[in-house]
Amino acid sequence: MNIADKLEILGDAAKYDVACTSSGCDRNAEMGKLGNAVAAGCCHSFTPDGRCVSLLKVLFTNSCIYDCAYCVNRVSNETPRVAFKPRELADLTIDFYRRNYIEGLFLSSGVLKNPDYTTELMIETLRILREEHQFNGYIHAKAIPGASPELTDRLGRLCDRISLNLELPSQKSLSYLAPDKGKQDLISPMKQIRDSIREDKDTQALMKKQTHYITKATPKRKGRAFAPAGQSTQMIIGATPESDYEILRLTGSLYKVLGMKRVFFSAYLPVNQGDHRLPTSQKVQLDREHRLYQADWLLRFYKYDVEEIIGPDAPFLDPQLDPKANWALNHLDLFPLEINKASYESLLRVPGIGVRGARYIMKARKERALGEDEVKKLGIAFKRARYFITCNGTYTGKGTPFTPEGIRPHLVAPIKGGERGSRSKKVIPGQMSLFEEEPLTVQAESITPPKLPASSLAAPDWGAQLYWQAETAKRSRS
Amino acid sequence: MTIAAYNPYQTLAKEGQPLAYLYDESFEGILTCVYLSLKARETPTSILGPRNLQLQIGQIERTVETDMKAAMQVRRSILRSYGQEVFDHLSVAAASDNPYAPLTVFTFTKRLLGNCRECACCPKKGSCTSACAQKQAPSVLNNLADPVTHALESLRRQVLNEREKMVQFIRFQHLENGIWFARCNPNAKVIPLLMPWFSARFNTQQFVIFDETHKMSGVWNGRSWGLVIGDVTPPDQTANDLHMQDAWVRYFNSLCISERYNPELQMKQMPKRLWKNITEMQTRMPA
Repeated sequence: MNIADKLEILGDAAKYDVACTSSGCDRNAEMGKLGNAVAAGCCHSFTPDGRCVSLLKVLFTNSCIYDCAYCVNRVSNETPRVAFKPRELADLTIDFYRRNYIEGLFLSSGVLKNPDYTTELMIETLRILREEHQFNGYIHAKAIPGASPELTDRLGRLCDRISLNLELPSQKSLSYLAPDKGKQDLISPMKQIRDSIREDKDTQALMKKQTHYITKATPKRKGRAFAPAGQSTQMIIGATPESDYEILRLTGSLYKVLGMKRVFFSAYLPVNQGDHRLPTSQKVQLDREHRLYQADWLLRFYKYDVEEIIGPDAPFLDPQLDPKANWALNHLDLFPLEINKASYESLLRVPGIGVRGARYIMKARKERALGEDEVKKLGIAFKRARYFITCNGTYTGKGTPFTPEGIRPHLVAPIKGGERGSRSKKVIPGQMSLFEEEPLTVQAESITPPKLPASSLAAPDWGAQLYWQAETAKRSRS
Repeated sequence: MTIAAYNPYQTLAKEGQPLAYLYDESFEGILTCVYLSLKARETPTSILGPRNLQLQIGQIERTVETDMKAAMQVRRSILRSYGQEVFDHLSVAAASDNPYAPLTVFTFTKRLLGNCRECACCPKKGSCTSACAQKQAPSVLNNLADPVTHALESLRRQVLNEREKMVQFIRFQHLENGIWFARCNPNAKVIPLLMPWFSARFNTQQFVIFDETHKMSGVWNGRSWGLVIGDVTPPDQTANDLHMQDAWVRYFNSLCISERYNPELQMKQMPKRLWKNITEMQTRMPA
């Protein structure tokens, strides 16, 4: 079996992993070393499903000792099993990188023999890349749950981003669907990673500080920083009965308590047939995933709080309306905003005005008062924003009653899923059809949650624990 | 009878007659246009390069030979009065292929030199020793509600987006003579903006990036980079390179999740006009 065959199998096995970002750390190129990294990340290709290919995303091996219900590589599946040799994979990465196919390596793995042995093989691959090939590009490594802390530390010092998958949004669901994994503690390696990142940042800050006038002695060999691009995690949406509220509350706590850079969601795909524990529906909740990502964006870039986006009384996001518009409609008392006076933070909360639009408005209004004609040109979605702003004292959304019911129809927008793919709407809503057509994407309400056995309900839940920690931290600050 | 002072740049156009400048599509060419227009006291209604040479009815033409000395003089006075950032904005916007780009850059530059912020125009006449209050005034680039400034900003953004596309989608081949070669077809003259990025990233390998639209190549020899104008016919690629291409295409083809199939999104992110030079998409092109 040659390397291209192996790559095809192991690339195919890794494709369900969501995180393929190369972002979060800036590293300048060095003379004599190959590669650099840029904080915004860089996508090098796009597959026909529209997802980006940024890193060479492969499994080290697809053979695994675990039997997780949702995974293609579980031990009870009949698939060909292969593994790379560390040097083989390192050479391949360099060959692809030099052709500008990829931004770096995303290395994950099935568990071969035991977690420690697998981690050692991954470390050897990264060591060859970093030390022998002098590779300076981006590396994302998946930590293996259950590996010893020393090995996770070594792995973290060789890569840029390290991640551990929560897999499912609650511990109950995980111990039900992945009995082997569910027993292990996932949160403690995440905490170890968080602490190592913080410790490393502190050390670097201390080393840069000049406390005396004697010329500083710089160490001859620089140690690598521990995961400078932070840690991330991901979870499957729709395989288990958790509501959007529970998922977002967990996400918010992960950002606050564990200092995550990203939390990824992946809509559940029925990759394994015939497991009674999983939903039998062939429908993929892509629209739900889309709304969750929109909410995630609001948490990270727009400084919203989870409770502002969603509450326990309406635990699912509105499938028709994006969460930012939903918030604005529920807070019409704060609007309309005068575009020439509003602060940057409040401009960001107007539906239709994004980060760039808000920046442009801040710049342009220093020079002259902005009327409707000027605002239209400034890179904002005016047809959405018009109901929430005034320009020079003139309300721009005239003709529409200023009530949630009046504005809502103008903001409702279906999620574009393409015209040819599985998400395409075969029938236009409201149009008569001879055939009874089911919509391919389900709405959040219509999911029938699978029943969990009573025994698994007794397990302590990390979601609740993390939420409690975030709340106590908030209270102690205030 | 008064004798008019001799002006070597005397305007050719009669009162009210529209005028077109013909230039060589370089940034220095636009700066020369600004210089000439100020000297001859005339304002062209269009600035045309050889690739979109189409005069309007009644327009008279004036061919502007690029004059490095004049261009440098314009550059100096922009730098002195407005600083490097403004000059960089102009040079990036001028790289655009948009037919209105030269006129936009020209109009903006001419306006800058008209509202002179040099010490000669200042009541203090250069006597101030501390930081100059005029130079701290809000940047001329901020006035985005103004049509020309807005056009300049959108041109610049279009060029930088095209540069980003090239950073993403350039594909190198390993040639038999040991050089790495990439062919691309951007819709802006982005090679000079690309070379600092690639020469830092791939400083260990000698490479050539050839822009087939503008017939311009960037060359990195391991120590410094330069631009070469003209067509390029590269030698064959190595056998190992073909294997690597094959491995990459097979890997790429295995990545798509069929339940999420959405080709419109792919085409939005990776425009079809670039596919002919992207290794993994070449096989999907119609013959």
